[in-house]
Amino acid sequence: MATKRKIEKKGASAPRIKESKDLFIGIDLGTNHTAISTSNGKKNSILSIVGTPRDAVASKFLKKERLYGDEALKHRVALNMFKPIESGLLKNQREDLEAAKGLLEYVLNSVDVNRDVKKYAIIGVPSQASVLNKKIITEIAGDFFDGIMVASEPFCVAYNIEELEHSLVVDIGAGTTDLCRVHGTLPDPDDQVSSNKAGDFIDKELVRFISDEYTNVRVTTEMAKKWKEQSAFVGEAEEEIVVDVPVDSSILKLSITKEVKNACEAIIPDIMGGISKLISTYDPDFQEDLRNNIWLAGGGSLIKNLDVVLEKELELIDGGSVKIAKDPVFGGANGALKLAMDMPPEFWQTA
Amino acid sequence: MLEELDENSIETQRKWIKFLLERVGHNNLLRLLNYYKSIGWISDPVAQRLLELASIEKRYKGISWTLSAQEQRISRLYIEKLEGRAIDDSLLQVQSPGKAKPDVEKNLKTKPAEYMHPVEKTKMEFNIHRREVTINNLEEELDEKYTQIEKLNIRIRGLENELLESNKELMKNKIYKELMDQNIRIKKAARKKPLNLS
Repeated sequence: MATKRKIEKKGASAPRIKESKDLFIGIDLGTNHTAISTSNGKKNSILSIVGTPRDAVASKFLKKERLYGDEALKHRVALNMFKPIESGLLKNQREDLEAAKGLLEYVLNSVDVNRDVKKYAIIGVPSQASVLNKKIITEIAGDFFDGIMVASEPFCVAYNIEELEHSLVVDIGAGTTDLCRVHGTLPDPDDQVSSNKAGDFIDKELVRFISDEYTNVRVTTEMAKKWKEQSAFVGEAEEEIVVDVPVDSSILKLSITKEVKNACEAIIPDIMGGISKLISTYDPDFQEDLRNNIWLAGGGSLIKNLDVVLEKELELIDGGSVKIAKDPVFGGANGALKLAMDMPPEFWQTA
Repeated sequence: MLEELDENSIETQRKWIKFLLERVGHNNLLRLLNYYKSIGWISDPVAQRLLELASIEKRYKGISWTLSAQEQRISRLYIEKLEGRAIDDSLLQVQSPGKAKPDVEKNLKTKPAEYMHPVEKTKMEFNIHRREVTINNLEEELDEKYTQIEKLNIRIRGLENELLESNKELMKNKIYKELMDQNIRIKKAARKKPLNLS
């Protein structure tokens, strides 16, 4: 009987053997970065920024119709800048959609994809993305792939770390913080909570706190982002954060420790609210498992002490354990890739 | 004083010791013989010899070491007969029976092992051997059972892992199916109202 079952099992998994010439791709289309990971081991991450020359002079000088990522940022004064993804969602404007399509093509070319192979991709989208948004992404990406699917970003993270039962992923991106509980099925809307208080929100708060504290300073969100990426923390400060800040016509060294702490801690109430909601509405038999299996992912998981502070906050609601998923930049893309590779081939044909 | 006893008078010796045992019992014999020694009737070797004879006689348990006057007189006649005097056996006849009772329990307890009947001994040895063989067999059987249990436990663990893997695979297949269905719905919506991008 056991032998028979084994044979049946082997028979069932047989169609999963993929043709080696197929290429599987995982993409994390984020507000700040777009990450790509492929089944032939290539990966890349670029800023989700697209720029088009402002005038004929700029066009002649740059010799390109569109610039992407760091290159666009470098020449931003000569460009009309597009951030096609805002608060985790693709904008509906025609220019933004074209920019997003160009961004996808650019990121795909950046990993030298062979045009002759069949390409199957899964794109990670925010947990609360609307059907319309998913539809748009599917359409603009459809031209580049032989098979395309979209999946919830935090679910991709959970799939990557193989925590598919009683786990709660807190994916802190630039545009949104997505919380998603995973319980052996594809998450329902009830399993997901999204907040706009994420990386970009911290940047804005940091600008506001510094401006409130020091008069005549000229701080941009780009500066704030850079400082945040260098020294974001919550809880107790380990060292003083001193940065060069333009004040009037000169540059002063100012301490922004308190401001960084306050800006970073500004996202905690929403995260705790989301965690509390997802735990309290979960099956009571498994609430203990869920609260002890919380994973931080995305760029925000790099904030120092965030896991410790969240665990301390969790003590107020019967405690819990918070862990940090490895590879915050490619975690979502790798999860999408893994999902794409594991998907039965016949499902790709049907979808 | 009776100094010694020889093999020729063994029958008289046995009759005398039996006479004494039936009256005072094995438990009081030593004391009575000590008394005879103290009054000069018998010597120490005679007392020893009498004790040896008593050990192979039927066991008796008496109430007291004393004898009646008539019994003492008969006992004295036995000594004189053993010293070689001609004593008529009729004088040694006893009117009343002795007060000591046969000691059955002691008799059984003190039965020496070497007296076991060879057939009985063989039977017992056979039984002991059979039990040892049975115990050895049972131990071997138990070892075998333990090995079987261990093998079964390994198999159970294997099957549990297989089940876990199957459940995981089932769960993943369900997820793939749900993801596919979700994306089919999205694509259907896209086909109804396509984007118009150049």
